[in-house]
Amino acid sequence: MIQKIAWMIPLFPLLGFIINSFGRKIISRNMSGIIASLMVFIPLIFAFDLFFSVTDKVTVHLFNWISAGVINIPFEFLIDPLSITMMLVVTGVGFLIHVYSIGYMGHDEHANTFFAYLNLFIFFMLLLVMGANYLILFIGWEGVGLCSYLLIGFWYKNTEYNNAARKAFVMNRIGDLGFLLGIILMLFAFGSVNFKDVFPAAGSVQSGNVTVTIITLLLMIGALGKSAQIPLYTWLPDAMAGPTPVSALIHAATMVTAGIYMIARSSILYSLAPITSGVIVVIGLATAVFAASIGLLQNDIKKVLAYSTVSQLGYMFLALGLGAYSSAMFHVTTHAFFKALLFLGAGSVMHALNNGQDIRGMGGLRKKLPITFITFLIATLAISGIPPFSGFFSKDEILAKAFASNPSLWVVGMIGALFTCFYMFRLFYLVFYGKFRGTSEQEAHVHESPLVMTIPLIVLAVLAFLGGFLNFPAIFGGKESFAEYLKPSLAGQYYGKELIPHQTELLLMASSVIILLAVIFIAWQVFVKRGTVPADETTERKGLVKLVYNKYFIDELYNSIFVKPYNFLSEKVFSWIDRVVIDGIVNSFGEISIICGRSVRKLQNGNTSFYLFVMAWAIVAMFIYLMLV
Amino acid sequence: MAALISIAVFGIALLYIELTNSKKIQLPLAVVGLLVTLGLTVMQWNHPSSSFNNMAVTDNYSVAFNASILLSTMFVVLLSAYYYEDVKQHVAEIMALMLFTVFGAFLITSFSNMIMLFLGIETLSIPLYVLAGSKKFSLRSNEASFKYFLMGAFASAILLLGITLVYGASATFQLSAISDYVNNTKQLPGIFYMGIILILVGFSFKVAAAPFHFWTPDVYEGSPTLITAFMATVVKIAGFAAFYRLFSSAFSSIATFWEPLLWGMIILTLLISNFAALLQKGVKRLLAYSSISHAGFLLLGIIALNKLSAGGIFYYTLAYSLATIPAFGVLILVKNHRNSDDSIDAFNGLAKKNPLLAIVMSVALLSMAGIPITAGFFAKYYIFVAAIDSGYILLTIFAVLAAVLGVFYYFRLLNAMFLKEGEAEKIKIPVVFGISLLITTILTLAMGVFPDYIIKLL
Amino acid sequence: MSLLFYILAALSVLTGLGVVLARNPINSVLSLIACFLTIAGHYVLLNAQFLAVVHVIVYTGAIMVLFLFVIMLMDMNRANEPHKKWTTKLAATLSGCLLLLVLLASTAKVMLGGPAPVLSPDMGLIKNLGMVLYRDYLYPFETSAILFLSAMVGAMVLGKHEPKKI
Repeated sequence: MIQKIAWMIPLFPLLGFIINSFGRKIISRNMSGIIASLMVFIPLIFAFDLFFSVTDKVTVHLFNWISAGVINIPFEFLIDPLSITMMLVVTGVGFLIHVYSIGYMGHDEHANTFFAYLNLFIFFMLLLVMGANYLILFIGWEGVGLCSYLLIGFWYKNTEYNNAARKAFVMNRIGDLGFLLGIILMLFAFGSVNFKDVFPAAGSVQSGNVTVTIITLLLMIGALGKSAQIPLYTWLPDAMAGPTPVSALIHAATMVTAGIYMIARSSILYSLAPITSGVIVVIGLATAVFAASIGLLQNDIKKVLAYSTVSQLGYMFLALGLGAYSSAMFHVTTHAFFKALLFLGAGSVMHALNNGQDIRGMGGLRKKLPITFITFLIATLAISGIPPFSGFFSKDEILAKAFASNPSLWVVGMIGALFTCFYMFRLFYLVFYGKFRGTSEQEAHVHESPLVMTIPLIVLAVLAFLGGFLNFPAIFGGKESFAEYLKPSLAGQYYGKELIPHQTELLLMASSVIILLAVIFIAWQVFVKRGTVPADETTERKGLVKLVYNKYFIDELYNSIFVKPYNFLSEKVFSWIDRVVIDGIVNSFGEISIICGRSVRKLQNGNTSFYLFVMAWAIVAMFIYLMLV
Repeated sequence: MAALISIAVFGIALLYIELTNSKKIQLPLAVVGLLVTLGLTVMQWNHPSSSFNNMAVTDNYSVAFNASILLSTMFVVLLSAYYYEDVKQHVAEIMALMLFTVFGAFLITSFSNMIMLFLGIETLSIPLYVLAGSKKFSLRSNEASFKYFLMGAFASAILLLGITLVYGASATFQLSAISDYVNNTKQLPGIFYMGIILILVGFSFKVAAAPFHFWTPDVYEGSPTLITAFMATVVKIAGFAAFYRLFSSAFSSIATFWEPLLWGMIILTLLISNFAALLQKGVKRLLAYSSISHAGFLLLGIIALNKLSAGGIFYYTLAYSLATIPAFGVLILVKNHRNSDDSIDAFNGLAKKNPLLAIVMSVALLSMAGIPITAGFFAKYYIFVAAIDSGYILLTIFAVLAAVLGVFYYFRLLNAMFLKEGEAEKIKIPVVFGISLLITTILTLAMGVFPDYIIKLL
Repeated sequence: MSLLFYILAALSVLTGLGVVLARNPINSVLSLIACFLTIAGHYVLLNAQFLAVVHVIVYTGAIMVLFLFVIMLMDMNRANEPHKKWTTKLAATLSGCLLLLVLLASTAKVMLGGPAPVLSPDMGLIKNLGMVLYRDYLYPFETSAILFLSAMVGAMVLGKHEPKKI
């Protein structure tokens, strides 16, 4: 029954979008928040129902969408464990963030528009994860990009935000171009873009096939853009210009994981392309460590979390590259819980401090914001990978797979994990411990957020705490139920194989936990005991610190490699061509056309005869072609 | 045939109505005329016929294109209620000239004889030369009219010479006979090829493909905005309908000869239009270059020359018209409000004060850019599929790149509307105007969601 | 017969050149009239007597005389001749020559096969013309009415004197 009406799932958020955008003037802000939340809650119920009733693949056929000759693309939704998982994450975390937003955006005059956009985002995200072919996936993909762009620039009075939105847009277009070319090539190679046609057809392709390698590389470029990996990651930290719930929902929990989802969905193709997988491993691992190292010295609470997101996405890519698709999806899930929690916690802190974002202006908030404090602690422990919090299980699984592949991957991954642990606890201690370093005005204002904001925090904290048990590892007597559940959707998995001996795995776990605890202790010593506070902007930084503090000057590098030459080209070269070449030709040709009198001169000021000259020359060229053939 | 007579009769009737000098009658009469004609046109669906010694054929192909021409004209006429609100003179004549243009368009969508092609193109063009200059006190409008006329005459002469040369070789004007001649002649004479080239040039001029596009930006910019919308839609639909009809029937068996020429023109058109559009400051000029780039995409459908082409071209022209009319419509409102300032900056902050206009405009722009769930996406999609099907992979990849480039300049306008601060004020939208804009927007979205219903027609 | 053709053809080309090269616009128009007359001669050679007559009456008689009036009224003389750069002239000459060359060359590459069919002597008579026009080509004949109507309406719209301010 529920499978028959699964097509209704995306319609609810769309309805919410319509109601909230047309009733913008009529509906009160709170009401529109409630409607928006409800429109996400209903799909959540549906998704749960699907979760309990569907264990294999179910295709929901809506109508024949496109039939152009041999190409036939139906409008279908694919309901299988992978899409159900994503639906649960999107609607579940999405619902909590909607509820939180009622409190957070309550004072904004454009709150109704905000909720409309959020609903629209959920609609496109559901299309993305439910679509049964690459075209619907692409439509969702573009749609979430559009919503992200609208929401980053939501406070459009600020030009900096405006630029951030534009940057996100341009970087994503680069990625989308790859994606689109990949789809076109796939259409050409397999004659279809439907999952149910492409995947079986791919089964008969030999591993390392060049076409498949190119297709997967092109799709990967799309994923790199959307999931903010090297070299297309710089938009994500800037995207933090949007309202905090947006950062939590779109730029941490859901949209940025679309790239991971897409690769996991195409797992059969990727398992046939070892070269692409190798590239993904390198990019993922590099991003994980690189972004984490930038996070070490950031002072903006949201920027730290943004780099942390980039870094965590890198781990997911690492898992994808290693062929551990279910591990990647597991990390997507747990990451959605704890990263959404971190962002919402950060939002709660900013709410209390009147939108202060600099951690140097915080401190000692432990007593003032008890709920935020506890939930933030749970999230921090989870992301750092301390057992038994969820992040421990998912990250450890990825690192174990990395070790099985090559121990050096584990070492590098572990370094990234250490960085993560350090910057998270640095952030945590600086915000909640020590003395308050803000203005006295702010101090008077500090208050715990209202219930509507703290309840989602608590729910997410529970999930971040318990989420790891979804895939309780075999080593502790678990059944790895999450991986088992996803099995029908994924290919090329390590199912049933014991990769590394249990003893080794235990040893790895123990050593990582010990190292992490040591790092936490060091951070405690530095930031709580000694009360160190990062230097302010004016301080001269030297050497490596300067490099890291300035994010390795990547933005500046891009600026000088791409933006400046482009500007130079368009300003100097094109304008030179325009001025000298075109005007020169035009002036000499154009003079013929001046027949007599001033009025006629004005009339002929355009260069009609020049146009005619060009046409005549084009005809001459065509005739020359005629003589040649 | 009934539709053709009906549109001519209503055009002439409008000229008489001019005597009453009452806009209360003129406009509804034009709308009724278009509706009646639309009804008569649709009735011919699935009833193919030919008349006058096979000189005119009515088939589903021509019915579909005629209906889409009528629909576009209808929206333009509806918008004109506001546009000509303060104009006292010649409104009925302008409407009549529009209907005569549609008459010409009908002739070339259903021609099967080269004489009809030439006659149709002239009947299509001559009223347009006048319409371009219908803002008599505006120097720009006069200039546009004169330029269009000069260059149009040049192109017509070339087309006529081409038709003559083809006649000289094949001794017939009839398309089927020309096709037989091509198939049955071992060594085609040089003048036949020359004729094809000249006809190709004439068509490229009409549909504004590079390097015969030069008139477009100047004429589009100078003409009254509403007329620009009319030109950009009706001429393009009819031009491509005739273009495809001629080249797919008479010249299809020597496609290897003219396809390389078209290939070069597509590359040139996409390059020139998209790069030029990037640097434009005025919205009207930007839309003109965008129209040129659409011609480039549409040519892909002609070069593909397979069973997907006709549907693809039809879908594309319809989607393009449904996006172009509201875009120009919004431009009219904004321009009037901002004292004829049509720069991109005039759109700053539009979304805040006039969300409806901003939404209509964005849907139109997204459709032109080819972003999914608008009709424009599938328009490009079908055309690309058709081209890939015929093996033009490199060309299609080039076109995809051009389409991506196109996104950037449409995006500049979106950016101005949604993310920039401007001193825009609330613009009052006349009722008829608003309804037409909304209908086009809804149609654009509907076509994007259910593309199959349109594409299946042809 | 063919001698007459070559004489007429040479005259057409010469008078055609005269149209373009004449400094004085009046001379230019007069050359054009002469050119039209030679073309009418060609029609006669092709047995198209009616067309020849119509051509003389309509083009030479009506249109060209109108041209002459317009030129005289506008009082064009040499003082208004715009100054042209030598580069422009060179470019124009080059393009023109190239176009001609290419046209000739591509025509010459493959000439028409065989001699043109002999035309029946009464083909151009009014009766036969009428039969063709009103029977075979009725459709274009009728539809061109709309073309002329729209041209007339257009001329009126553009040409009518308007009160200064609308």
